[in-house]
Amino acid sequence: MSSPDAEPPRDPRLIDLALHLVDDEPVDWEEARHTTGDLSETLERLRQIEMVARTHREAAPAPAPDGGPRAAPAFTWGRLEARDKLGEGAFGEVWRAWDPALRRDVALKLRRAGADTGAARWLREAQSLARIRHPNVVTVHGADVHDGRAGLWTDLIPGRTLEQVLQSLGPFGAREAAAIGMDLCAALASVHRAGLVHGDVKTRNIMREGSARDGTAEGAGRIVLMDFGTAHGSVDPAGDGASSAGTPLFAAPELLEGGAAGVSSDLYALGVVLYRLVTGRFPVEAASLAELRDAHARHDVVPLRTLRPDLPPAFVHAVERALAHDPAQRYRDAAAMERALAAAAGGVEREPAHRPTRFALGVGAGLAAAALVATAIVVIPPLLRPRFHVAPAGAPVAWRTKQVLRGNPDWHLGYVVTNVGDVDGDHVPDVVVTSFGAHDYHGRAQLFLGRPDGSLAPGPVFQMLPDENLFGFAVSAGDLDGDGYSDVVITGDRRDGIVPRTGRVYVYHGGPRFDGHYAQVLRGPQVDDEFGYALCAHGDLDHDGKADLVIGAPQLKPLPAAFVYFGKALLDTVPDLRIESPARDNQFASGLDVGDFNGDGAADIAIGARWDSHDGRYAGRVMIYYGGANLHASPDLVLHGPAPGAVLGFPSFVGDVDGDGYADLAVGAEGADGFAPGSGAVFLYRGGPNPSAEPALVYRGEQEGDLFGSAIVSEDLNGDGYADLVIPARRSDGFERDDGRVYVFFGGRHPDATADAVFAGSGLMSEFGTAVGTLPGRNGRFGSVLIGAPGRFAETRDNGEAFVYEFARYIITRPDAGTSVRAGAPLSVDWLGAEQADVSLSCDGGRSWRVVRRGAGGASQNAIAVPIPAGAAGPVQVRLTPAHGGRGEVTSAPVVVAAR
Amino acid sequence: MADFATPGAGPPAPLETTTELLSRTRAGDEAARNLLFARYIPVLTRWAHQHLPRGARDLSETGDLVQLTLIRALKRVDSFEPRGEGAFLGYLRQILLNAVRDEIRRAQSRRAPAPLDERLPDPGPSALEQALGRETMARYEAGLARLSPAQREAVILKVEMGYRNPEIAQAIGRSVDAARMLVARALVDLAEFMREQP
Repeated sequence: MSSPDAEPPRDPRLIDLALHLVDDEPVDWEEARHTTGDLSETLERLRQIEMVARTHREAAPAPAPDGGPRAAPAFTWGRLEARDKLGEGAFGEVWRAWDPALRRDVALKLRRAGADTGAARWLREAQSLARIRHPNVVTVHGADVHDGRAGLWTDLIPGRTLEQVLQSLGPFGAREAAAIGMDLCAALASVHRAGLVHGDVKTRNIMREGSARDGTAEGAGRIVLMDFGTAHGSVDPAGDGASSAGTPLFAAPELLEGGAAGVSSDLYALGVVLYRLVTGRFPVEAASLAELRDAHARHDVVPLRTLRPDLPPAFVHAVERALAHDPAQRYRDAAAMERALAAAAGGVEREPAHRPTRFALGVGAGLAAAALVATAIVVIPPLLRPRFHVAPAGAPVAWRTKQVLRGNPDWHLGYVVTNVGDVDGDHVPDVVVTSFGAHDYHGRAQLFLGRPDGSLAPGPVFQMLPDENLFGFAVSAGDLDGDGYSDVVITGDRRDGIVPRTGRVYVYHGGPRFDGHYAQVLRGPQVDDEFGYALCAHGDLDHDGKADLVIGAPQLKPLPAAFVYFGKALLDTVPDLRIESPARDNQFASGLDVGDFNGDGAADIAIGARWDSHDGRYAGRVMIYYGGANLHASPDLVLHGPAPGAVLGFPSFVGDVDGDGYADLAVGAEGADGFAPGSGAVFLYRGGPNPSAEPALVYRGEQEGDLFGSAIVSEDLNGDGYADLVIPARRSDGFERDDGRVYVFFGGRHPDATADAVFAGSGLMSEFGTAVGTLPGRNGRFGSVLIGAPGRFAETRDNGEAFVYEFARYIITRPDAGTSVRAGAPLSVDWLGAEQADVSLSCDGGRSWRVVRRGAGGASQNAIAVPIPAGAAGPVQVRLTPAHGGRGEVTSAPVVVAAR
Repeated sequence: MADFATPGAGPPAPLETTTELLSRTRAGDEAARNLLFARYIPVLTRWAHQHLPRGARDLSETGDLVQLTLIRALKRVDSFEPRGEGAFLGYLRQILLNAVRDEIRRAQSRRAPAPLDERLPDPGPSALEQALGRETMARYEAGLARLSPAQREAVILKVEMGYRNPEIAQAIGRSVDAARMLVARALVDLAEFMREQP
């Protein structure tokens, strides 16, 4: 480590060159090579540093911070230094100005001197605008009055107005117009939510952001709603000569009759914008205001189809509804219009675009959120399969945070949190937690060893090849070599984004001295095949007593495929079976699971193809291949997504949810409502000798875009013998709320889709619910739920966390270990769990028990005092037994009895 | 969201230091918080633009990442010791670097269907990696990590954030001449460390 105080000797020639760099002066590197001679290698590194700096500078989308010489301002207004006049209109002027506090140029919009009318109101409204923060709305930094002139300053957006783009490139296609319309709907929704009306939506007030240098549309292409207009006839700092009712040709008819601007008139204006973008004209045209009023009165509108018969009907309908003469016939709000445009865009074929925007980014209507979130392919190892001891259903259950797992700092631990069965042979299942890895692209995975008391202790870190990237994306486990220890498989390099490679899957053999070293590495057949995107190692497909491994390669060309490796001491590197997708580019095998669906005793394979378009684009499909002697590569049953855009495709065998003796299959569909915005859903298919391809039950998330159903795990969490479902909604619909939720749905003879428990993340951007897992119950406890929150801020480090929530009939919170009580004194006993309990006491270390209270409790939190006999020597223990029978008896920690 | 800043009308004063703004943000001053946002978004946006791979740069909103960074940073403003603007920027850079890496991973791990364009672009190398190669960037990062905190801050301000000498001086609380020499020496040390990198 270097220290500036230590001042190691440095060659003055290098210092001199470095000073050139510091002073932003050019360096003649050829010349420098001659003068530095023996320092050529260091010189080369210095040159590379200069290139790093230059590359950073060249990206500058905004002027560099101040510090150098600047031209003298034309004038100052408050702290702002006005530099160049950008425009002028009836309402005033627009200047490029330097804001020393923000250290950058801003757009300063000054009302005309002497325009005192309504100045106070204008200021108030401008100040309200400063509260709006939305990527599609220009940021207003403030408003004030100086030197008798009211003004506001905003971001300076490089680029061109939509009117300029229209004039230079001609009419837009429906797809691009719909995408722009959706951005503007989102912008208007934020404005309206703030209780404001834009009042001047028009093509000249909408920027397409471009390069900072030349203002062309070669930049990010962000659509930005600019100058706020005349909500109340006051704010129009751009002042381009518009009337006090906004620009007439964009104005809703009721405004021309003196009506007030509102949500409806903003949406009308947006309709005009879209009409104009695709036609270059206005729906109602006139040469004067009087003529325009008359034309509106006559409903003299040129139908969109007249000018553009090629437009898709859904798009035409979406725009024309916004243009309805009667405000009551228009959209109720911007969100409704956005949905209509999204649905319309979903039906628009590809077309050349002026510039790719939101749609062309490839995410599509309603599914945009999916691109920004990560998923975990979480599978259930064999030891976790629910055991079915049917007990009275519906008894209340308690839960609490049992433990929080944290990894090394900066690991972003919690990307996958999954039960991997008993790796080390102590008969307690263990857990693998993986992380993003923040200082490199490697990724990490760590074993947490299960203990008999239900807690987890940090174990070995899984080893990988030195050039590994993106390790830990998917994890599964099963006894592949038949030695009685669970073996772990972890996905390594699917690709590193720079150097194309085949996917890798590491196999780790469990054993009593498990140290994290891999036994073998399987590789995909093709570069960029995404081999290992999904994998499953817990099913015995060929009935030989050893688990078999199924690995998906959803990007394999020409057809995606899943590969089956039959379990043995060392897996064959050539797969035993290749199951190909029936179609290309459908993400086949991006989700898969193994379980006995048809109840014949042999495990079956379910493979999802979430982008499958067999029955509609991106409806998704799940194909089921029955295992046993006849396992073959063509599906025996196909489940179809319910709608285009549903992306049905994350299958998970979840045990017997309804108690009919057969394992059921749950399939996640993050976009269950298709391209219309909506929550995700999980479809439950009942297993049996002749399983139906129709879902028996549909579970839904709570919120639009919540990505409900990206993973599904199950366990008997309430001790009733039925499998319960755990389903996360990682939700990514806003920074403020992006903390996800996890829902628990209890199974039963007649399961319903109402959540019985909900876990919510508590941290901003915690990504709570990115991963879910479960652990089976032990010692009176029911199962536990594991939830990863890789974005969670643990203390001051950004390292993610994984939570272990324990379920039980009762959870005794007092006495705990270390408590002592005096003989003859009362012992306080507190517990969670609403089922009434019989309370027993043992004063001899658990050898004999005496009931001291029957039917105690009954609330979610309970407290009683139990008298300790005067002669008790201890240790003392308390036991709670369900008063009405059933499972769930729990015993407190031993309590020391102190001498009187 | 609080009201906006008003120029010349009380705080925040035009050239309030980052340290002062951080202190006021910590005390719950929303205007100071907003000013910090406004001040750092451009410089971080530019930085993020250079460090995101091509594909990820397109599919993610660079601005979102930057906002996320600031939200994260300011959420933990209580635990941040404001040693000056240079330290704060270094701190923001690290959070943003983490966010960028997450974004790369997400872009690769979950490419949503693209009904209209069929496929998202593959996240390729970042602009920096394109220009300089991944190995050089790895050397640079490794060298940076070996510098003292003060040197590292100075290099980041100069090389990555494009600050000029007077600004660096202000940010690290030294005279312009001292800041200039500090950066020069740090650059030479960085070059040496890069050379020594295996």
